Amino acid sequence: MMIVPAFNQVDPASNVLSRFPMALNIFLQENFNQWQSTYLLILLATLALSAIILYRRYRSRRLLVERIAELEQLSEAGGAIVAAELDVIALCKLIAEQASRIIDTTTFQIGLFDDELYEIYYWSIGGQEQTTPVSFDISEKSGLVGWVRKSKQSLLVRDFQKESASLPATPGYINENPPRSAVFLPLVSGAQVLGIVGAQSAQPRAFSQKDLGQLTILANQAAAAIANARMYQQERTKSEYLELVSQIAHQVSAIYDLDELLNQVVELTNETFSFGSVNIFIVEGPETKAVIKASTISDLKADSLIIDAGVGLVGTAVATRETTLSNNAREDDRFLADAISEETRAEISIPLIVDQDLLGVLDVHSPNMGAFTSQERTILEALAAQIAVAINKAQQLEIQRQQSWITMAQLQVAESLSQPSDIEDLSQTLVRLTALLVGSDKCALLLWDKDFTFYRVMAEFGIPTLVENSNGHFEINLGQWRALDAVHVGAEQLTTSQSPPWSTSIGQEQQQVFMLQPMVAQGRVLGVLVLEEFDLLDAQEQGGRSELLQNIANQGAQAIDNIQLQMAQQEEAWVNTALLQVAEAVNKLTDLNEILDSIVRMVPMLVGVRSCVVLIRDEAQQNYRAGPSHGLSEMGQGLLASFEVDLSEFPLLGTQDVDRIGPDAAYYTFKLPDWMHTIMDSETADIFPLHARAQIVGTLVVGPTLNGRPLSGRRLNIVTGIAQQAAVAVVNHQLYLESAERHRIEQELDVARSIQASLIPQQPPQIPSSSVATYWQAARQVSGDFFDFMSLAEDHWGIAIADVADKGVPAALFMALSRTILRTVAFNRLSPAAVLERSNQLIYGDTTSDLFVTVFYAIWHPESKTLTYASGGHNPPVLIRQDGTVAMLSAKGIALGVLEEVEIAQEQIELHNGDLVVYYTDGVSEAMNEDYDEFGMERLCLVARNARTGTASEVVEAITAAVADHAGDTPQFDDITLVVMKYE
Amino acid sequence: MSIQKEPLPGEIWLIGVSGRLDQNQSLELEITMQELVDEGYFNLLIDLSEVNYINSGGLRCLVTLWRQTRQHGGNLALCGLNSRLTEVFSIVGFDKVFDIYDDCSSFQSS
Repeated sequence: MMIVPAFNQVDPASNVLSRFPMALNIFLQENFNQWQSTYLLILLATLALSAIILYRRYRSRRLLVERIAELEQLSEAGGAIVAAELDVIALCKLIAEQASRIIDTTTFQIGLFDDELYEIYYWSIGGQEQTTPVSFDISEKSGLVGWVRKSKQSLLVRDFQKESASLPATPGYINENPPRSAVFLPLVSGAQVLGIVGAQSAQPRAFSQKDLGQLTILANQAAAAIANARMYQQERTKSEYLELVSQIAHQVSAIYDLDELLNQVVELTNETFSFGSVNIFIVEGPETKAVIKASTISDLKADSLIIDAGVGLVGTAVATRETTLSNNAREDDRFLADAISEETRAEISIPLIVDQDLLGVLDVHSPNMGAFTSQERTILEALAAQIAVAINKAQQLEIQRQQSWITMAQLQVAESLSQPSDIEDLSQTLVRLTALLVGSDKCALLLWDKDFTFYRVMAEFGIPTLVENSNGHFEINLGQWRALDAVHVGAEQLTTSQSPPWSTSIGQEQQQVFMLQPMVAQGRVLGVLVLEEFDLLDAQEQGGRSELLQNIANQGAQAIDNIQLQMAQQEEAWVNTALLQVAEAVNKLTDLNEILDSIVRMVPMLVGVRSCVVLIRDEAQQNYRAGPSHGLSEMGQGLLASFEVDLSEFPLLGTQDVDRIGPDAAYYTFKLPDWMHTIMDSETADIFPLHARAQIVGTLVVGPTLNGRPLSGRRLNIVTGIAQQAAVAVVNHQLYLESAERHRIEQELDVARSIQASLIPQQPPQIPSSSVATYWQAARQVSGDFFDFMSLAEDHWGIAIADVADKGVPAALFMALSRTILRTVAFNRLSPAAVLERSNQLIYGDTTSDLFVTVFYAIWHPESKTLTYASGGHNPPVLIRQDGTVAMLSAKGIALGVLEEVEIAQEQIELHNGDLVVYYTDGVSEAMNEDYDEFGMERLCLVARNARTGTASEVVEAITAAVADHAGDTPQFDDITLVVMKYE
Repeated sequence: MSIQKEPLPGEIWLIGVSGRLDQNQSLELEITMQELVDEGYFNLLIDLSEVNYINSGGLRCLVTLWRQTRQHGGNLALCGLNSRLTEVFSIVGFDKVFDIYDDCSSFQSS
């Protein structure tokens, strides 16, 4: 498009015309002599016409050829330019080369603008190529170049001498041989003038309008090429910078130590970009302070400069999290004049951000104003991003390393703590590990003794071994060290400057910081680790150490808990074994005294007390008497031998006091009265009541422990267990005695019964014409009832039935006495009344007891069928005649053994065939049912009457059956004796 | 069984007994009487009008007490025996041992 106007500007006509007539003349002269004038004219006219036609054709052809040649030339030049390497200097040289085909380029220049600078990239003066590039400041005096730049128009000066007045601007320079003519063309790319192409000549009119046209085409193509080259170069620079950035990033990426990383970053950045000082700040705390960590300024050490957020460019970058830039720092309000910035004219502070986290600030200074263009900014921001990632990585790695170190330390702790099986070893291991891993010079382990409620120093490291008390350890009671109290209650880590009690005891004076770390398991504080000189300065490191300390404490607590549990189990097993031993001893021995003796010997052995005494409560005597004892002085033993204390004198052992203490009170400490004090040789003793069968059967008095401390839980358990066994032994013994007594009595009664039974006729006698049946049943083992048959003189038979007024053994004895007397008296007497009267005398005189006996005594003489009888106050027997008539065999008399002299009446009846006499004791007539309804005489008579046709045995059976039927389940209250005699 | 005692003129105590008088129940009576004897009262009148039953145990108790009072020169008299008790006393022959009155007033008037 540009070619067309340029082509129009050129007018080649005059040149062509001047040559054409000359050629025609030669042609005309060669042919003029051969032709006649007429023909000549026609020929001439034809020739002239042809010539005109030819000329026209030639001319157009010529123009076309020229135009094509020009186009080819320009196209060649443009192609060379466009195809050229995209390097501005080389490109400019190429443009100059191409321009030389069009014009005289002896003095020629191609320059480009950079703000107020005009930089010449190709310069030839008088055929001599100058060293390029050369810069000229055109801010004040821009000359023709400035005009061209501004107007974007080309300028053709044919002759400076003639046209100097009409020039649009004053030429920028004057030398000794000023040019006569010049041409200037703007290099226009888009709306921007990139530079100037200019040619000068010492000859006037050296450059034509046509040259200008052609140069314009070339310039336009050159401008496009230069713009491209520039853009390419910028991109290349940028990519080169980015390459550098990536190189820096790559170089530092292998550095994991944060300090080294930061130092490398500042050095490499400085080397690569050469701005000025490079500094890196790391943000610490909650984004409030930027702390210098690395700087190219050697005097500026890490941590030596701290900048608050919002202060200076760095602080602003921290506060806004955005790149903060000042290209004219001295004029900037935000600029902070400090050690870094003495020569600073420009500064850029770029926040280092990873995943929203502000890590720090990359701060670059430059002594040159305007040093940080958007390009630098972009590059540095890219660098900052890479640095931020590297820092983050290093920080993460540092944390990981810290973590892995802690993990390793924790593993070490776990391994170490899994080994020891006793508290002492474990404690030693714990203090060493703590001191080593946590990094404290001094460490002590305090263990809580839950039995005696104090802390015991179990192990110490770096502290002189603490003064041991009589129990082998340094003890700290609650209330003695307030910091410890707080940890004991709160179970939280605590830092204090309050010295532990041992500080005074080993004469430490200077102020210290102590860390108290509770060891908690199952929610209980088992112990406390105390660290001295615990360094609190480094918060981050402190965190790690604190975590580790906590971990050691947790694992230690777990280990202690395990060991304590194990110990508790062992102790429990030991207690059980001890109690089993006692139980075995108790079971093996049968004698209570031996059992109690072995118990009082075992108690001191098992629980470590000086002495032990058993007191046995005697319910009958309402007192305590001494049982076996052990560990008493001779005097104590002597005093104890005569020990017999009324229950009221030992009130605390009374049942009411047990009620007061409560049924669960296994023991209580008792302040002994003086006499007991002397026996036990102690002011106090532990009293373990022997409970059994809901009563107190005695007490175990346990003297003071050998170590002077109260009995611990384990020991209390043992003694309580032993007390229970002792109580069982005492009760068993009582039961044994009681049962032995019962057994003895029963045996005696059995003997008595067999003796008594032997006194009773085993078989009814064989009395002629009579059948006799008997029944004898005692209410208890022995009876007061008896009956007897005596074969008397002259075929007389004595029949006696008697009832001693009582039951049981005394009655049985009285019965035996009475029977013997009756038998003795009866043998030589045939008068029942006389027998009873004499018997009464003997019984009365023979006994001092209040007993008496009722006796019915009859003498039966079958031959005469007479029954003579007398009654010593006995129930009258029933006579049942064969015809069913019933009569009572009453006779006046009185029970034997009451009065010294008695009068007994005597009666006589005659029996007939089939008559029967029923002798009985009141056990029969008064046998009662559950309604206190007596069997009664009426029923007795009726039953006997109904049964009268049967044998004597059948009558007995009928009566006993009726009595049993009447009584039902009511226990037999009285002895039952029945004698039935039937006359047949 | 229940026992009441009240003094009568002339250092005599009237003991009222009610219920059944057997060897088990008579223990209480024996204790009461023993107390009086221990206190030096040896003239006793036992009112048996409320007693509906007596057996050999009860009789033994009365004999024991009778003997004790007699040993101290006193006496144990009975009164208010119902028909059944009268029969028992008659059978055992204790109507000859004890002084038996119809009731307290007949005792006093004697």
